[in-house]
Amino acid sequence: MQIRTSPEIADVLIVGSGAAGGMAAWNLTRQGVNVTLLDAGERFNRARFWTHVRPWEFRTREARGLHPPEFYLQPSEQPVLTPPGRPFDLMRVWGRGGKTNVWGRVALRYSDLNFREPALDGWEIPWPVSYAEMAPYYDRVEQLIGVCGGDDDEPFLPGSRYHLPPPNPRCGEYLIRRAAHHAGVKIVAGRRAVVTREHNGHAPCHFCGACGRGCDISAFFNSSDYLLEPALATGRLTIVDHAVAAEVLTGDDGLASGVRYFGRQTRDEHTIHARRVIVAASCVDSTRLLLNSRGTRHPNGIANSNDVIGRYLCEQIRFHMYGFVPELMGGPVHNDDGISGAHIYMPRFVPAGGKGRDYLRGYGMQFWGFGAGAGASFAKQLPGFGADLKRAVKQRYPALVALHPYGEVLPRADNRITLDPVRKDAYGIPLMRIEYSIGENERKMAEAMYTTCEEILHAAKAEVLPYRRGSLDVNGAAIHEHGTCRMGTDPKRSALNRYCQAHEVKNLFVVDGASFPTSTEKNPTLTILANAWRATDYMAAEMAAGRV
Amino acid sequence: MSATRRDALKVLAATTSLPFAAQAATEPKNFTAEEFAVLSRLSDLILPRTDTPGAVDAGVPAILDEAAGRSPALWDTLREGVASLGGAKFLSQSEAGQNEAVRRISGLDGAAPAPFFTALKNQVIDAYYSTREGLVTELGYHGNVPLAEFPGCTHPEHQRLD
Ligand SMILES: Cc1cc2nc3c(=O)[nH]c(=O)nc-3n(C[C@H](O)[C@H](O)[C@H](O)COP(=O)(O)OP(=O)(O)OC[C@H]3O[C@@H](n4cnc5c(N)ncnc54)[C@H](O)[C@@H]3O)c2cc1C
Ligand code: SF4
Repeated sequence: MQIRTSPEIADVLIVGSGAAGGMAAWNLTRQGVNVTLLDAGERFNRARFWTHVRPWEFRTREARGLHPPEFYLQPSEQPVLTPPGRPFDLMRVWGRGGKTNVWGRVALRYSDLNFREPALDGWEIPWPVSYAEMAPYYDRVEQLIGVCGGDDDEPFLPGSRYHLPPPNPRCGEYLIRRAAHHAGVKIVAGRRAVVTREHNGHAPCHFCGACGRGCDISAFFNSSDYLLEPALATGRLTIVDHAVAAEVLTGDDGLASGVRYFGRQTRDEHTIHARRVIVAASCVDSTRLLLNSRGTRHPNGIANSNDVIGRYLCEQIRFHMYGFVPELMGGPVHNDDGISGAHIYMPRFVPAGGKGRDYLRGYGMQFWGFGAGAGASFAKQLPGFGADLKRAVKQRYPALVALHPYGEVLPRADNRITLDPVRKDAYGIPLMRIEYSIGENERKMAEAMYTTCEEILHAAKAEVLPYRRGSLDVNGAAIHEHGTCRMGTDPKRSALNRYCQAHEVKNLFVVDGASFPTSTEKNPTLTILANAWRATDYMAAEMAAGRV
Repeated sequence: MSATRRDALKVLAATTSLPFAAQAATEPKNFTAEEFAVLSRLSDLILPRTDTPGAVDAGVPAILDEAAGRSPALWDTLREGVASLGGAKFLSQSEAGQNEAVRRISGLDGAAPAPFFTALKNQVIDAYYSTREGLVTELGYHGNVPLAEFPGCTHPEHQRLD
């Protein structure tokens, strides 16, 4: 097959356009740098989103041959191999903006402790970045994209002067807040990247509650509308859509010299040369790309002579508990949509005096799906049938409360991504294999997470839906992968320096969640944005100084 | 109350007063006529017509038929379940007899519910509460509409911390 090579040499070539790649493109182009970006998909057309299609209209539309936009990459197109009995549920969005088209918008700052904790407890390598260094970038990101929330500064959750007004909680959220208070657990206003008033030209949220189907007015942050479009407007960004990157190429000097990629549909092979490469294809896809970049200078994958890349995959454990609060049973049905998902959040909870804390790190909690939703799947767990069942469902419908705790998973060398030696995708790129398990620390933490949920629901006098203590979502379900190309000060134990620059290949940067040494208990995207901004500030300065 | 919220309630009132004539009987695409008739009856035993529409009123049997078309495993489970209840003979029983037959597989007597019953109940619930009849008329859902402002909780008694 003929390989097409672009004649130009890109100043900076970025792979991926989600939170990380979008931020890199936006920050570099506004500083005068010319950028070429490869994305594995295309822009999702907002005019075709099903944001305002009512649940009962789905079937009739589908019967007419209409379909909602397909955000998610089908596993059949890009299978992920896992050992028997150890599934890993990887969610990927290939297309401009990546997963930010459908993300949950929970936008939390990591706390000072989140950054310092690995150094304090000594589990694996420390973060090379402090909260003090990240804080100004959090400020800038929040001002840029618009995050609504409380300004309360909690020990494990920093506040912000830049938050937009938070939406009022629903009845059930207030009742759970009170119950938690009685149980000694503090609940605060959620922090979500939803613009609750017009912000930087983005229309305000109109509380239709359908964010998961994509927002047709882009009232929540997505990388495509908030970062790529302004970057394109500078005239300095070129996006190559449908470009599936397969390999970072290297020159004789061992430096990155470009990227080999395939047309997603055409399967044509292309090469594009570049002076600097930024990898930002999301943690797992970036890792696959790096491991597959095996030249004579880099037999173990680019920037990976110390065998760190692919290892230390860390995510979060998660489960769900549901109940019904007595105050709302059989009561009036309100429109509980709001900004869709929780208006409240439980910052990391530590029992007084650390009682029962026999694990490292910690857990926080989200509260999705309170009150009247667009369905009643909880009904499947109510006993019986007939008019009694129907009545029981109706009575409980406005009273539903839902607890979703997230706990940090420690990084471990043998939780890893590798390339399958035999199986390949349609382009001939090796399939990836994910081997991942949780350990004793997570199982102990899960016990504490269950106890916290039980105490809150007990204090709420809630009727609790059946659950099995200790059971957890399938690994990967938290969709917060980290660690497989981590930053660090020790070049023997990390792949990147503190600015996401590869120790071994100075014109190669990896700016997504792969660069995080830990997963923390929090949703990462705000930090991915802040960190990518920080890293590309450094890169731009190094470029200006002629060092990279 | 804001105008938008009032409008939303008006919409709700209007939809709630719609007459709920049973949906036009549909020809099943996957089940036999006999299986379809039994499944229709079972759907209504699980979520019957009360002062609001029941499963058949809401068109649930057609949704089950479509779901079976997408999932061979579900299709088999439902088909075998119908057979285990005696097929068309189930329909010739009295209403009390039918109720008793469902009760025996429902888990209400302490035994584990039959897998067929659980599968059917889950399907009926998902289907019914996704229709306008189930979601709007029965439950009173009035969301997924643009609002100028989101009121949230307006009850001081819910908002206390003590
Ligand atoms: C349903 C859901 C809910 C979520 N909720 C939250 C939340 O509430 N809060 C939060 O912080 N996070 C949340 N997340 C996670 C969040 O979406 C991610 O952290 C964030 O999008 C990561 O940004 P990224 O740039 O690393 O990757 P992505 O956003 O996944 O972007 C990856 C980009 O790389 C491209 N790409 C991939 N492979 C290749 C390749 N081989 N060649 C070229 N391009 C490639 C893709 O097309 C895409 O543009 C959620 C995710 C999902 C799916
Ligand atoms: S609730 Fe707000 S952010 Fe979500 S889809 Fe509706 S308008 Fe967009």
